[in-house]
Amino acid sequence: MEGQINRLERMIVVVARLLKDGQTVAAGTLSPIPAAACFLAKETSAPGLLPLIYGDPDNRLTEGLFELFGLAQQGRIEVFFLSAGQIDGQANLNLTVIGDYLRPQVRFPGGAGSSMLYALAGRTILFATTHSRKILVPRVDFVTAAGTDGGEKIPWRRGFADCLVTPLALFRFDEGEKRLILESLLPGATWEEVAENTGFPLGRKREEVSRLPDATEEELAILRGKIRRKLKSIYPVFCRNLWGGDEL
Amino acid sequence: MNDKVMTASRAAAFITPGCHLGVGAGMAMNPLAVIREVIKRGTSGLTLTPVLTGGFVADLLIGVGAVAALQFPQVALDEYGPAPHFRKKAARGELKLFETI
Amino acid sequence: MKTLRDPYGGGEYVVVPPLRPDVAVIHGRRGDREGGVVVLGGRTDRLLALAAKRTIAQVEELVAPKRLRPYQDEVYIAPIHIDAVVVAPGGAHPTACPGKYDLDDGHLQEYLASAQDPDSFDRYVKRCITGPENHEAYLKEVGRGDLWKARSIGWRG
Repeated sequence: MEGQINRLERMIVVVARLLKDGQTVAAGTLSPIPAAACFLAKETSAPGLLPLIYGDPDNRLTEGLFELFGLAQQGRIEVFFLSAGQIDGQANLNLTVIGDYLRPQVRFPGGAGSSMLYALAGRTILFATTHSRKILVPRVDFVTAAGTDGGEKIPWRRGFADCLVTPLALFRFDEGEKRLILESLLPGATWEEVAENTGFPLGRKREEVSRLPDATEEELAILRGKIRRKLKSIYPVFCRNLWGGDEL
Repeated sequence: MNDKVMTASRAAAFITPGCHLGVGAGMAMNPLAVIREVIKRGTSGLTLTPVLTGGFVADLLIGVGAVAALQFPQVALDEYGPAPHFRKKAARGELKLFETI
Repeated sequence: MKTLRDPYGGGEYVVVPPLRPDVAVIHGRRGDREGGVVVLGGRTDRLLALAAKRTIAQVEELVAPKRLRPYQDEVYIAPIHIDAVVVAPGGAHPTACPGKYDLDDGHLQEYLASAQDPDSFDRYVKRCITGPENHEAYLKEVGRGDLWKARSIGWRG
Protein backbone atom coordinates (compact mmCIF):
# COMPACT_ATOMS: atom_id res chain seq x y z
CA MET A 1 0.00 0.00 0.00
CA GLU A 2 2.70 2.49 1.06
CA GLY A 3 4.37 2.68 -2.33
CA GLN A 4 1.10 3.60 -3.98
CA ILE A 5 0.33 6.61 -1.84
CA ASN A 6 1.30 9.95 -3.34
CA ARG A 7 3.25 12.33 -1.10
CA LEU A 8 0.64 15.05 -1.56
CA GLU A 9 -2.05 12.61 -0.42
CA ARG A 10 0.02 11.97 2.71
CA MET A 11 0.30 15.71 3.29
CA ILE A 12 -3.46 16.10 2.99
CA VAL A 13 -4.01 13.35 5.56
CA VAL A 14 -1.45 14.85 7.96
CA VAL A 15 -3.06 18.29 7.75
CA ALA A 16 -6.56 16.81 8.16
CA ARG A 17 -5.48 15.14 11.41
CA LEU A 18 -4.29 18.49 12.79
CA LEU A 19 -7.82 19.91 12.65
CA LYS A 20 -10.13 19.59 15.63
CA ASP A 21 -13.87 19.02 15.66
CA GLY A 22 -15.92 22.19 15.90
CA GLN A 23 -13.21 24.55 14.66
CA THR A 24 -13.80 27.33 12.15
CA VAL A 25 -11.08 27.01 9.55
CA ALA A 26 -10.44 29.07 6.44
CA ALA A 27 -8.30 28.69 3.33
CA GLY A 28 -7.62 31.37 0.72
CA THR A 29 -6.37 31.27 -2.86
CA LEU A 30 -3.86 28.72 -4.18
CA SER A 31 -4.58 26.27 -1.35
CA PRO A 32 -5.68 22.87 -2.70
CA ILE A 33 -3.94 20.86 0.06
CA PRO A 34 -5.69 22.73 2.92
CA ALA A 35 -9.02 22.60 1.06
CA ALA A 36 -8.74 18.83 0.63
CA ALA A 37 -7.58 18.42 4.25
CA CYS A 38 -10.57 20.38 5.60
CA PHE A 39 -13.04 18.32 3.56
CA LEU A 40 -11.33 15.08 4.62
CA ALA A 41 -11.32 16.05 8.31
CA LYS A 42 -15.03 16.87 8.10
CA GLU A 43 -15.71 13.41 6.66
CA THR A 44 -13.57 11.61 9.25
CA SER A 45 -12.34 12.98 12.60
CA ALA A 46 -14.04 16.39 12.70
CA PRO A 47 -17.65 16.25 11.45
CA GLY A 48 -18.44 19.54 13.18
CA LEU A 49 -15.67 21.46 11.37
CA LEU A 50 -16.75 24.71 9.67
CA PRO A 51 -14.55 25.12 6.59
CA LEU A 52 -14.61 28.46 4.77
CA ILE A 53 -12.81 27.60 1.54
CA TYR A 54 -12.14 30.17 -1.19
CA GLY A 55 -13.78 29.05 -4.43
CA ASP A 56 -15.98 26.39 -2.79
CA PRO A 57 -19.52 26.55 -4.22
CA ASP A 58 -20.77 25.30 -0.83
CA ASN A 59 -18.93 28.02 1.11
CA ARG A 60 -21.62 29.54 3.31
CA LEU A 61 -20.38 33.12 3.37
CA THR A 62 -22.50 35.93 1.93
CA GLU A 63 -19.91 37.98 0.10
CA GLY A 64 -16.62 36.23 0.42
CA LEU A 65 -13.20 37.59 1.17
CA PHE A 66 -13.91 40.92 2.83
CA GLU A 67 -16.35 39.10 5.07
CA LEU A 68 -13.62 36.57 5.90
CA PHE A 69 -11.25 39.41 6.82
CA GLY A 70 -13.93 40.86 9.10
CA LEU A 71 -14.38 37.50 10.80
CA ALA A 72 -10.62 37.27 11.29
CA GLN A 73 -10.57 40.73 12.91
CA GLN A 74 -13.27 39.57 15.31
CA GLY A 75 -11.17 36.54 16.23
CA ARG A 76 -13.59 34.07 14.70
CA ILE A 77 -11.16 32.30 12.33
CA GLU A 78 -9.53 29.69 14.55
CA VAL A 79 -7.25 28.15 11.94
CA PHE A 80 -5.92 29.62 8.71
CA PHE A 81 -3.53 28.22 6.09
CA LEU A 82 -0.65 29.93 4.31
CA SER A 83 2.11 29.02 1.92
CA ALA A 84 4.78 31.13 0.21
CA GLY A 85 7.54 31.28 -2.37
CA GLN A 86 10.03 31.38 0.52
CA ILE A 87 9.60 30.31 4.16
CA ASP A 88 12.35 30.69 6.77
CA GLY A 89 13.04 29.16 10.18
CA GLN A 90 11.39 32.09 11.98
CA ALA A 91 8.22 31.30 10.01
CA ASN A 92 8.47 34.49 7.95
CA LEU A 93 6.75 34.26 4.56
CA ASN A 94 7.77 35.82 1.24
CA LEU A 95 5.03 36.13 -1.37
CA THR A 96 6.38 39.34 -2.89
CA VAL A 97 9.83 39.44 -4.53
CA ILE A 98 13.36 38.07 -4.62
CA GLY A 99 15.78 40.93 -5.19
CA ASP A 100 15.10 44.65 -5.37
CA TYR A 101 11.40 45.49 -4.98
CA LEU A 102 11.29 47.75 -8.04
CA ARG A 103 13.47 45.53 -10.29
CA PRO A 104 13.16 42.05 -8.80
CA GLN A 105 14.83 38.89 -10.07
CA VAL A 106 11.65 37.00 -9.25
CA ARG A 107 8.22 38.54 -8.90
CA PHE A 108 5.89 36.40 -6.76
CA PRO A 109 2.09 36.87 -6.99
CA GLY A 110 1.70 39.07 -3.89
CA GLY A 111 0.59 38.58 -0.31
CA ALA A 112 -3.19 38.76 -0.78
CA GLY A 113 -3.83 39.73 2.82
CA SER A 114 -1.60 37.01 4.26
CA SER A 115 0.10 39.52 6.54
CA MET A 116 -3.14 40.47 8.25
CA LEU A 117 -4.62 36.98 8.41
CA TYR A 118 -1.37 35.53 9.80
CA ALA A 119 -1.64 37.99 12.69
CA LEU A 120 -5.38 37.74 13.29
CA ALA A 121 -6.18 34.04 12.89
CA GLY A 122 -6.07 31.93 16.06
CA ARG A 123 -3.23 29.94 14.55
CA THR A 124 -1.88 29.30 11.08
CA ILE A 125 -0.85 26.02 9.52
CA LEU A 126 1.92 26.64 6.97
CA PHE A 127 2.31 24.31 4.03
CA ALA A 128 4.79 23.84 1.17
CA THR A 129 3.99 21.44 -1.66
CA THR A 130 7.67 20.83 -2.37
CA HIS A 131 10.39 20.48 0.26
CA SER A 132 13.53 22.20 -1.06
CA ARG A 133 16.22 24.70 -0.10
CA LYS A 134 14.77 27.03 -2.71
CA ILE A 135 11.59 27.40 -0.61
CA LEU A 136 12.82 26.62 2.94
CA VAL A 137 15.49 29.29 3.19
CA PRO A 138 17.74 30.59 6.03
CA ARG A 139 16.17 34.05 5.73
CA VAL A 140 13.39 35.25 3.38
CA ASP A 141 14.42 37.95 0.85
CA PHE A 142 11.29 39.96 1.63
CA VAL A 143 9.01 39.69 4.67
CA THR A 144 5.46 39.70 3.30
CA ALA A 145 3.95 38.18 6.43
CA ALA A 146 6.02 38.16 9.62
CA GLY A 147 6.26 34.98 11.68
CA THR A 148 7.71 36.73 14.73
CA ASP A 149 8.47 40.28 15.80
CA GLY A 150 12.20 39.81 15.38
CA GLY A 151 12.79 41.98 18.42
CA GLU A 152 11.29 45.00 16.67
CA LYS A 153 8.11 46.85 17.43
CA ILE A 154 5.22 45.18 15.63
CA PRO A 155 1.47 45.68 15.78
CA TRP A 156 -0.59 43.50 18.08
CA ARG A 157 -1.23 39.99 16.87
CA ARG A 158 -3.57 37.22 18.02
CA GLY A 159 -1.87 34.11 16.75
CA PHE A 160 1.32 32.66 15.35
CA ALA A 161 2.24 29.79 13.09
CA ASP A 162 1.18 26.45 14.52
CA CYS A 163 3.31 24.26 12.31
CA LEU A 164 4.71 23.76 8.82
CA VAL A 165 3.77 20.69 6.79
CA THR A 166 5.74 19.61 3.71
CA PRO A 167 5.68 16.36 1.70
CA LEU A 168 8.53 15.16 3.95
CA ALA A 169 8.10 16.62 7.41
CA LEU A 170 6.09 18.32 10.12
CA PHE A 171 7.81 21.25 11.85
CA ARG A 172 6.24 22.70 15.01
CA PHE A 173 6.49 26.44 15.71
CA ASP A 174 7.91 27.04 19.18
CA GLU A 175 6.49 30.32 20.50
CA GLY A 176 9.19 30.57 23.19
CA GLU A 177 12.11 30.03 20.82
CA LYS A 178 10.20 31.74 17.98
CA ARG A 179 11.28 29.26 15.37
CA LEU A 180 10.21 26.16 13.51
CA ILE A 181 11.48 22.88 14.97
CA LEU A 182 11.37 19.52 13.21
CA GLU A 183 8.91 17.28 15.05
CA SER A 184 8.06 14.36 12.76
CA LEU A 185 8.81 12.74 9.44
CA LEU A 186 6.04 11.81 7.05
CA PRO A 187 5.90 8.13 6.02
CA GLY A 188 8.44 7.37 3.33
CA ALA A 189 10.67 10.36 4.19
CA THR A 190 14.16 10.05 5.69
CA TRP A 191 16.07 12.30 8.08
CA GLU A 192 18.83 12.69 5.46
CA GLU A 193 16.33 13.82 2.84
CA VAL A 194 14.92 16.46 5.20
CA ALA A 195 18.36 17.66 6.35
CA GLU A 196 19.61 17.89 2.78
CA ASN A 197 16.63 19.89 1.54
CA THR A 198 16.03 22.33 4.40
CA GLY A 199 17.81 25.69 4.40
CA PHE A 200 17.31 26.45 8.11
CA PRO A 201 18.40 24.51 11.24
CA LEU A 202 16.13 21.54 12.04
CA GLY A 203 16.45 22.15 15.80
CA ARG A 204 16.26 18.45 16.74
CA LYS A 205 18.58 15.47 16.64
CA ARG A 206 17.71 12.51 14.44
CA GLU A 207 16.69 10.34 17.44
CA GLU A 208 14.36 13.05 18.80
CA VAL A 209 12.20 13.06 15.70
CA SER A 210 9.10 10.88 15.52
CA ARG A 211 7.48 9.28 12.49
CA LEU A 212 3.84 9.97 11.65
CA PRO A 213 1.50 7.02 11.05
CA ASP A 214 0.55 6.53 7.42
CA ALA A 215 -2.82 7.25 5.86
CA THR A 216 -5.38 4.56 6.61
CA GLU A 217 -7.27 2.66 3.91
CA GLU A 218 -10.42 4.45 5.05
CA GLU A 219 -8.85 7.91 4.79
CA LEU A 220 -7.50 7.13 1.33
CA ALA A 221 -10.81 5.74 0.13
CA ILE A 222 -12.69 8.87 1.24
CA LEU A 223 -9.97 11.15 -0.16
CA ARG A 224 -9.92 9.46 -3.55
CA GLY A 225 -13.72 9.19 -3.71
CA LYS A 226 -15.93 11.85 -2.20
CA ILE A 227 -13.21 14.45 -1.56
CA ARG A 228 -11.71 14.14 -5.04
CA ARG A 229 -15.15 14.71 -6.59
CA LYS A 230 -15.75 17.79 -4.44
CA LEU A 231 -12.26 19.20 -4.85
CA LYS A 232 -12.50 18.87 -8.64
CA SER A 233 -15.00 21.73 -8.81
CA ILE A 234 -12.52 24.07 -7.05
CA TYR A 235 -9.09 22.73 -8.10
CA PRO A 236 -9.54 20.75 -11.36
CA VAL A 237 -5.90 21.07 -12.45
CA PHE A 238 -4.57 19.93 -9.04
CA CYS A 239 -6.91 16.91 -9.16
CA ARG A 240 -5.87 16.01 -12.70
CA ASN A 241 -2.17 16.23 -11.81
CA LEU A 242 -2.57 14.17 -8.63
CA TRP A 243 -5.08 11.54 -9.68
CA GLY A 244 -4.98 11.60 -13.47
CA GLY A 245 -7.93 11.71 -15.85
CA ASP A 246 -7.88 13.99 -18.88
CA GLU A 247 -11.16 15.76 -18.41
CA LEU A 248 -11.37 18.85 -16.24
CA MET B 1 -38.31 53.25 -16.61
CA ASN B 2 -34.67 54.12 -16.92
CA ASP B 3 -33.44 51.53 -19.44
CA LYS B 4 -29.74 50.96 -18.82
CA VAL B 5 -29.24 48.18 -21.38
CA MET B 6 -26.56 49.02 -23.93
CA THR B 7 -23.97 47.34 -26.14
CA ALA B 8 -20.57 46.32 -24.82
CA SER B 9 -18.84 48.82 -27.10
CA ARG B 10 -20.97 51.74 -25.85
CA ALA B 11 -20.37 50.77 -22.21
CA ALA B 12 -16.63 50.47 -22.91
CA ALA B 13 -16.59 54.20 -23.74
CA PHE B 14 -17.22 54.94 -20.03
CA ILE B 15 -13.65 53.83 -19.48
CA THR B 16 -11.56 56.79 -20.59
CA PRO B 17 -7.76 56.81 -21.00
CA GLY B 18 -5.97 57.22 -17.69
CA CYS B 19 -8.98 56.52 -15.49
CA HIS B 20 -9.11 54.28 -12.42
CA LEU B 21 -10.78 51.01 -13.43
CA GLY B 22 -12.02 48.37 -10.99
CA VAL B 23 -12.75 44.88 -12.31
CA GLY B 24 -14.23 41.77 -10.80
CA ALA B 25 -11.32 39.35 -11.17
CA GLY B 26 -10.07 35.98 -9.94
CA MET B 27 -10.48 33.10 -12.39
CA ALA B 28 -14.28 33.22 -12.55
CA MET B 29 -16.81 35.87 -13.60
CA ASN B 30 -14.25 38.18 -15.26
CA PRO B 31 -16.18 40.83 -17.23
CA LEU B 32 -14.37 40.06 -20.49
CA ALA B 33 -17.05 40.95 -23.04
CA VAL B 34 -16.75 44.62 -22.00
CA ILE B 35 -12.99 44.48 -21.34
CA ARG B 36 -12.29 43.15 -24.86
CA GLU B 37 -14.12 46.23 -26.21
CA VAL B 38 -12.01 48.45 -23.95
CA ILE B 39 -8.88 46.88 -25.45
CA LYS B 40 -10.25 47.29 -29.01
CA ARG B 41 -10.61 51.03 -28.38
CA GLY B 42 -6.93 51.19 -27.48
CA THR B 43 -7.66 52.69 -24.05
CA SER B 44 -4.44 52.98 -22.06
CA GLY B 45 -2.81 54.58 -19.03
CA LEU B 46 -5.29 52.91 -16.69
CA THR B 47 -4.94 52.51 -12.96
CA LEU B 48 -6.29 49.01 -12.45
CA THR B 49 -7.82 47.60 -9.28
CA PRO B 50 -8.69 43.93 -9.74
CA VAL B 51 -10.93 42.73 -6.93
CA LEU B 52 -9.86 39.31 -5.60
CA THR B 53 -6.62 38.03 -7.10
CA GLY B 54 -5.71 39.79 -10.33
CA GLY B 55 -6.57 36.77 -12.42
CA PHE B 56 -7.01 36.53 -16.17
CA VAL B 57 -8.54 39.96 -16.79
CA ALA B 58 -5.69 41.81 -15.04
CA ASP B 59 -2.98 39.86 -16.85
CA LEU B 60 -4.68 40.45 -20.22
CA LEU B 61 -5.01 44.22 -19.65
CA ILE B 62 -1.37 44.36 -18.52
CA GLY B 63 -0.30 42.26 -21.52
CA VAL B 64 -1.88 44.60 -24.09
CA GLY B 65 -0.24 47.61 -22.41
CA ALA B 66 -3.46 49.21 -21.14
CA VAL B 67 -2.26 49.45 -17.53
CA ALA B 68 0.07 52.13 -16.15
CA ALA B 69 -0.53 51.48 -12.45
CA LEU B 70 -1.79 48.51 -10.53
CA GLN B 71 -3.47 48.51 -7.12
CA PHE B 72 -3.50 44.89 -5.99
CA PRO B 73 -3.15 42.30 -3.26
CA GLN B 74 -2.15 39.42 -5.59
CA VAL B 75 -1.92 38.71 -9.30
CA ALA B 76 -1.88 35.05 -10.29
CA LEU B 77 -3.83 32.72 -12.56
CA ASP B 78 -4.63 30.50 -9.58
CA GLU B 79 -4.19 26.89 -10.75
CA TYR B 80 -2.55 28.03 -13.99
CA GLY B 81 0.34 29.48 -12.03
CA PRO B 82 2.01 32.91 -12.27
CA ALA B 83 0.36 35.58 -14.42
CA PRO B 84 2.90 35.80 -17.27
CA HIS B 85 2.51 39.44 -18.36
CA PHE B 86 2.28 40.76 -14.79
CA ARG B 87 5.38 38.83 -13.79
CA LYS B 88 7.38 40.04 -16.78
CA LYS B 89 6.36 43.71 -16.64
CA ALA B 90 6.58 43.97 -12.85
CA ALA B 91 10.11 42.51 -12.93
CA ARG B 92 11.12 45.05 -15.59
CA GLY B 93 9.72 47.90 -13.52
CA GLU B 94 7.18 48.79 -16.23
CA LEU B 95 4.20 49.01 -13.87
CA LYS B 96 3.62 51.42 -11.03
CA LEU B 97 2.67 49.15 -8.15
CA PHE B 98 0.44 49.94 -5.17
CA GLU B 99 0.65 46.65 -3.37
CA THR B 100 -1.25 45.55 -0.29
CA ILE B 101 0.45 42.58 1.31
CA MET C 1 0.79 53.99 6.43
CA LYS C 2 -0.82 56.43 8.81
CA THR C 3 -2.33 55.77 12.20
CA LEU C 4 -5.31 57.26 13.95
CA ARG C 5 -6.56 57.26 17.54
CA ASP C 6 -10.05 55.79 17.94
CA PRO C 7 -12.05 58.80 19.24
CA TYR C 8 -14.49 56.53 21.13
CA GLY C 9 -12.59 53.60 22.62
CA GLY C 10 -9.03 54.85 22.38
CA GLY C 11 -6.28 52.74 20.87
CA GLU C 12 -4.15 53.38 17.83
CA TYR C 13 -5.27 52.07 14.45
CA VAL C 14 -3.60 51.91 11.04
CA VAL C 15 -5.79 53.53 8.39
CA VAL C 16 -5.62 53.40 4.60
CA PRO C 17 -7.36 55.66 2.08
CA PRO C 18 -10.51 54.26 0.42
CA LEU C 19 -10.37 52.84 -3.08
CA ARG C 20 -12.69 54.79 -5.31
CA PRO C 21 -12.51 53.59 -8.96
CA ASP C 22 -13.91 55.93 -11.64
CA VAL C 23 -15.54 52.94 -13.32
CA ALA C 24 -16.08 49.34 -12.24
CA VAL C 25 -16.96 46.41 -14.50
CA ILE C 26 -18.48 43.24 -13.08
CA HIS C 27 -20.07 40.08 -14.48
CA GLY C 28 -23.45 38.92 -13.16
CA ARG C 29 -25.63 35.88 -13.64
CA ARG C 30 -28.83 37.88 -14.25
CA GLY C 31 -29.84 41.48 -14.66
CA ASP C 32 -32.90 43.58 -15.47
CA ARG C 33 -33.27 46.66 -17.69
CA GLU C 34 -33.19 49.09 -14.76
CA GLY C 35 -29.86 47.81 -13.50
CA GLY C 36 -30.82 45.32 -10.82
CA VAL C 37 -28.17 42.60 -10.94
CA VAL C 38 -27.48 39.26 -9.31
CA VAL C 39 -23.81 38.35 -8.95
CA LEU C 40 -22.05 35.30 -7.58
CA GLY C 41 -21.51 35.31 -3.80
CA GLY C 42 -18.05 34.98 -2.30
CA ARG C 43 -16.58 37.51 -4.73
CA THR C 44 -16.91 41.00 -3.30
CA ASP C 45 -18.32 42.32 -6.62
CA ARG C 46 -21.06 44.22 -4.75
CA LEU C 47 -18.49 46.08 -2.65
CA LEU C 48 -16.71 47.09 -5.86
CA ALA C 49 -19.95 48.34 -7.40
CA LEU C 50 -20.69 50.40 -4.28
CA ALA C 51 -17.19 51.90 -4.18
CA ALA C 52 -16.97 52.93 -7.85
CA LYS C 53 -18.36 56.18 -9.23
CA ARG C 54 -19.99 54.33 -12.15
CA THR C 55 -20.51 50.59 -12.61
CA ILE C 56 -21.05 48.51 -15.73
CA ALA C 57 -22.62 45.09 -15.19
CA GLN C 58 -22.46 42.56 -17.98
CA VAL C 59 -24.92 39.69 -17.43
CA GLU C 60 -25.50 36.18 -18.71
CA GLU C 61 -29.21 36.77 -19.02
CA LEU C 62 -31.68 39.68 -19.10
CA VAL C 63 -34.66 38.84 -16.89
CA ALA C 64 -37.76 40.40 -15.31
CA PRO C 65 -37.08 42.12 -11.95
CA LYS C 66 -38.93 39.39 -10.03
CA ARG C 67 -36.37 36.84 -11.26
CA LEU C 68 -33.59 38.73 -9.52
CA ARG C 69 -34.29 37.11 -6.16
CA PRO C 70 -30.88 35.67 -5.22
CA TYR C 71 -30.17 32.02 -4.45
CA GLN C 72 -28.02 31.05 -1.46
CA ASP C 73 -24.80 31.43 -3.48
CA GLU C 74 -25.76 34.78 -5.01
CA VAL C 75 -25.81 38.47 -4.04
CA TYR C 76 -28.28 41.10 -5.25
CA ILE C 77 -27.13 44.60 -6.24
CA ALA C 78 -29.79 47.33 -6.44
CA PRO C 79 -30.22 49.42 -9.66
CA ILE C 80 -28.96 52.64 -8.05
CA HIS C 81 -25.43 51.20 -8.05
CA ILE C 82 -25.49 50.12 -11.71
CA ASP C 83 -25.16 52.54 -14.63
CA ALA C 84 -25.04 50.18 -17.61
CA VAL C 85 -26.28 46.65 -18.28
CA VAL C 86 -24.63 44.70 -21.09
CA VAL C 87 -26.25 41.42 -22.11
CA ALA C 88 -23.33 39.05 -22.70
CA PRO C 89 -24.01 35.33 -22.35
CA GLY C 90 -20.64 33.61 -22.16
CA GLY C 91 -19.17 37.04 -21.34
CA ALA C 92 -16.81 35.69 -18.67
CA HIS C 93 -15.13 33.27 -21.11
CA PRO C 94 -12.38 31.96 -20.80
CA THR C 95 -12.89 32.32 -17.02
CA ALA C 96 -15.68 30.34 -15.39
CA CYS C 97 -19.28 31.18 -14.75
CA PRO C 98 -19.98 28.57 -12.03
CA GLY C 99 -23.20 26.66 -12.68
CA LYS C 100 -23.17 27.52 -16.40
CA TYR C 101 -19.68 27.01 -17.86
CA ASP C 102 -16.27 26.02 -16.53
CA LEU C 103 -12.94 27.73 -17.00
CA ASP C 104 -11.76 26.93 -20.57
CA ASP C 105 -8.66 24.81 -20.03
CA GLY C 106 -7.67 24.71 -23.72
CA HIS C 107 -7.99 28.48 -24.09
CA LEU C 108 -5.93 29.11 -20.93
CA GLN C 109 -3.17 26.83 -22.27
CA GLU C 110 -3.25 28.76 -25.57
CA TYR C 111 -3.06 32.08 -23.70
CA LEU C 112 -0.10 30.94 -21.58
CA ALA C 113 1.72 29.66 -24.67
CA SER C 114 1.04 32.93 -26.52
CA ALA C 115 2.48 34.96 -23.62
CA GLN C 116 5.92 33.46 -24.27
CA ASP C 117 6.87 36.06 -26.91
CA PRO C 118 5.47 39.33 -28.30
CA ASP C 119 4.69 37.97 -31.79
CA SER C 120 2.61 35.06 -30.58
CA PHE C 121 0.80 37.35 -28.13
CA ASP C 122 0.05 39.76 -30.99
CA ARG C 123 -1.50 36.86 -32.91
CA TYR C 124 -3.59 35.95 -29.85
CA VAL C 125 -4.83 39.54 -29.50
CA LYS C 126 -5.71 39.75 -33.22
CA ARG C 127 -7.57 36.44 -33.21
CA CYS C 128 -9.43 36.85 -29.91
CA ILE C 129 -9.81 40.58 -29.31
CA THR C 130 -9.31 42.98 -32.20
CA GLY C 131 -10.40 40.50 -34.89
CA PRO C 132 -13.93 39.48 -33.85
CA GLU C 133 -16.53 42.12 -34.69
CA ASN C 134 -18.50 41.58 -31.48
CA HIS C 135 -18.97 39.22 -28.55
CA GLU C 136 -21.02 36.72 -30.58
CA ALA C 137 -18.27 36.56 -33.22
CA TYR C 138 -15.66 36.12 -30.43
CA LEU C 139 -17.51 33.13 -28.98
CA LYS C 140 -17.70 31.52 -32.46
CA GLU C 141 -13.97 32.18 -32.99
CA VAL C 142 -13.01 30.46 -29.73
CA GLY C 143 -15.35 27.53 -30.37
CA ARG C 144 -18.01 28.46 -27.80
CA GLY C 145 -20.84 29.61 -30.08
CA ASP C 146 -23.10 27.38 -27.98
CA LEU C 147 -22.92 29.86 -25.09
CA TRP C 148 -24.47 32.60 -27.25
CA LYS C 149 -27.24 30.33 -28.51
CA ALA C 150 -28.12 29.42 -24.95
CA ARG C 151 -28.92 33.06 -24.12
CA SER C 152 -32.71 32.73 -23.98
CA ILE C 153 -32.78 29.49 -22.02
CA GLY C 154 -33.48 29.84 -18.30
CA TRP C 155 -30.58 27.73 -17.08
CA ARG C 156 -31.34 27.88 -13.42
CA GLY C 157 -34.84 27.44 -12.02
